[in-house]
Amino acid sequence: MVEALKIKDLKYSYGEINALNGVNLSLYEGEILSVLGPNGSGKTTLLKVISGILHNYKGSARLYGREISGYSIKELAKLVSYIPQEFSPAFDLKCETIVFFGRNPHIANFKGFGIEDYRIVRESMDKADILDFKDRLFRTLSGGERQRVIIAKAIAQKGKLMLLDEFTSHLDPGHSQKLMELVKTMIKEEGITAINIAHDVNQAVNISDRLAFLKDGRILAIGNAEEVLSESLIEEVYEARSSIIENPLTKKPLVVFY
Amino acid sequence: MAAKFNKILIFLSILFGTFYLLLLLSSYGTVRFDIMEIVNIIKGDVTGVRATLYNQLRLPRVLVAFLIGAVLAIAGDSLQLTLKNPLADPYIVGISAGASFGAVLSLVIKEYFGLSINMDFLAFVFALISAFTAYFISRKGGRISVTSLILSGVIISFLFNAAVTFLVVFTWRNIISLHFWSLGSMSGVSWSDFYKMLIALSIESVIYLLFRRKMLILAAGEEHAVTVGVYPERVKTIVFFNVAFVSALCVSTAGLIGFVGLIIPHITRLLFGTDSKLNLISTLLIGGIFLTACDTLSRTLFQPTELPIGAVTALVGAPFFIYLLKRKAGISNG
Repeated sequence: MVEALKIKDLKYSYGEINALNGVNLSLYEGEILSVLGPNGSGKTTLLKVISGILHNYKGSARLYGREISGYSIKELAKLVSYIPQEFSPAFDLKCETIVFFGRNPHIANFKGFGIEDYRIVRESMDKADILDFKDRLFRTLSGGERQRVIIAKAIAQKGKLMLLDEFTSHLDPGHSQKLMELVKTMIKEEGITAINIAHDVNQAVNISDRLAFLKDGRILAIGNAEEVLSESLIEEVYEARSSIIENPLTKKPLVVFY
Repeated sequence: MAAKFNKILIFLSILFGTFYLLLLLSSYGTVRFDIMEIVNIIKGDVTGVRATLYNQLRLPRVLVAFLIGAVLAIAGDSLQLTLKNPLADPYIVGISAGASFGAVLSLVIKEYFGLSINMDFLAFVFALISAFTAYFISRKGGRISVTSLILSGVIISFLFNAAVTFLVVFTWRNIISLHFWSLGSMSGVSWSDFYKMLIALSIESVIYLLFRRKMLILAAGEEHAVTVGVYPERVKTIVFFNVAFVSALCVSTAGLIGFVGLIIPHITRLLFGTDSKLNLISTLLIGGIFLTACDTLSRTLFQPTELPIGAVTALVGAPFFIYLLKRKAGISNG
């Protein structure tokens, strides 16, 4: 198995506040790792370091064998695509324009888009099922449709690692499930590696190969759901009572909070 | 398809309307010309005092007003996109006030110390200082809220306007020339100003075109820009230099003129959308014709007395600013 990402003793602080306190994890090519944890545990900071948004980190974060801080942001954007919780342009943009943003890392400075870029953008919109509203303004779309546009942008970016930051948190369970399925299928079809930040433990169990639990900037447990999930871990991470049973449909662990 | 056709039709109307309006607006003033007379003067079929008057005074004035309007409108669009702020404009952000101080300072230095420092250069230096000062004052936690940028701009404008008043009264002991530096005027512009502004517009447009995609990406947020391979600080620095450069030339040519950069980009976006390829040309044309019309009003409304052109643009711009501020979308990212 090729190691896509190796993080060792990663630390990051916002002034006096330590957001990451020595994170260690490895991510293998083609797997989906869900990172779970309470609010303020450092999940989003972790993604921001990997995507190059935050750069003055301590410790080591190597992507395909090379330190992330050693990449130019354009090189990094060719490898990593990021799907944020919320995407809010200040002005009305057409959906197609937003999907084209995903091609920016592949375009030489001061050059326009080529035929290949147009083909990739069309194909990405088709996969995310947004071709019908490519000319519509982003503002006029529903929450689920907006996230599909952002997914199309991430596909068009052709990164090897996809970072998903609670991207279904604003959606109702129906839309959230459909979108998750869409992303999971696409990740597997394209052979992409993914880190998914999630709040819903059971949804994370269903779509991920492994789970990592983060609290106070440290990883408390990492592994597949059957190995790591326990009532005591859930108590430690979320300070919530739970019972873990077998999901009668998927045969995977199911966390029931009570 | 029909929508696309409509947009092309609107664009062509703006394009041809601009030429006609330029001719028409150049006919108004203390001396009136009719359109046919203007056509004949331009063709060289008519000579004499009226032709000289038109060629040497009216025509450069109208064209310089057009170019300054165009330049300011593009500058406003660049700032709004890059700063993700629908209320940004060189005047509101304080860049123009800085340029105005630099220009007056160059005059004072010449008067008092006999040192000749290029006015455009000093205006540019102070325009840059105010751009970066406003930016750093309003930036908190990696974000610039709509309102804090406006407040920083107001403070910087107050500061530099006060400094201009101080310098003018201290040096010349009168406040007549203050009108020029605080409210702008097109009187006295010449063909050399036209060439200067033409170069400014060309450089500004080339930079705009080269950075258009990156500015649009920045309009969707700085963090987003990083994730698709754009360095926000680099783009902002280039845009600030570009805006400071053109604002300095505008101010040293025609004094302080506000709100053009605020209003015109919104009108263009309303007509063609934010991401249309027609935006640069239409912003240029509408901005140009808007300021030419404002200048026509300023020289004809109370003729032979001239109304400062900045007063005319402010009469239109201030209510527009209030409208944008009140509109929910206008402050949603604050």
